[in-house]
Amino acid sequence: MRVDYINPFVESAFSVIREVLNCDVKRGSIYLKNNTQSIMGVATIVGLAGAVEGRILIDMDKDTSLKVVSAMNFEEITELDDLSKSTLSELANMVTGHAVTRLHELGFRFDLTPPAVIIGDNLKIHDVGVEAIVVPMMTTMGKIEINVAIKERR
Amino acid sequence: MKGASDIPGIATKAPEGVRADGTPFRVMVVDDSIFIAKQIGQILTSEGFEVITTAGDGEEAVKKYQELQSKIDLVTMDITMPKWTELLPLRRSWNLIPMRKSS
Repeated sequence: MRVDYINPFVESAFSVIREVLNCDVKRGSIYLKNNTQSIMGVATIVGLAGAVEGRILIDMDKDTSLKVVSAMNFEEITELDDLSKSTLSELANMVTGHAVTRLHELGFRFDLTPPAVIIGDNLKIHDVGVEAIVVPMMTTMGKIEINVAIKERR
Repeated sequence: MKGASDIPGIATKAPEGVRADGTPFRVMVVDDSIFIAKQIGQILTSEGFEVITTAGDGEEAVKKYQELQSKIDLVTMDITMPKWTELLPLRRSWNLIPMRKSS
């Protein structure tokens, strides 16, 4: 997997999270995964299709997700209701929107799917034929993992 | 938590959403994302506008607009949303002010 199209997502996630959540963010160690991975509990997924294909996953646990949606709405939200899910979708739109603008400038052509929010315990994701890069972001609201699995279409 | 109206300096400016006689301009917010609709509503409210209704797709927007037409001064509208073509006949009669596409 080429770093060219990973970095924009990581940089975008880093700046969007810091700006939108207005909190300190530290980047954890990046790691590669080529098998089935666990999801922490609340994951927002955006698919890519075109010259490159795959998906971006923004993953966090439920407690962190409630802090995130509360911060974005300037009010305390205690359950993952429709507003919460809409808010998480917009967070994913912001992260991918910035990154895609950058990637289009670099000449990569692809479309994005609308975000889907997946919620549950003991969830796992398996990507066929592509390894995933996971970038943990440590925030004061908890850990948010940016999980990118993209390959060039052959 | 702090809202936009709590930012120092903002309050010194005359709010954009209020007429000279003190009555607010009344707004319908149309967006398929309830998060975005809420954010737009909060920004407008902090400027003195009154959000009197919201709609999540084109069909709902047409229905609510027809109901409240005499009360609505301004409509904010997403471009891409479900059933947006339903809004086309109405849009022809409106003064459209295009805004920036966000991404």
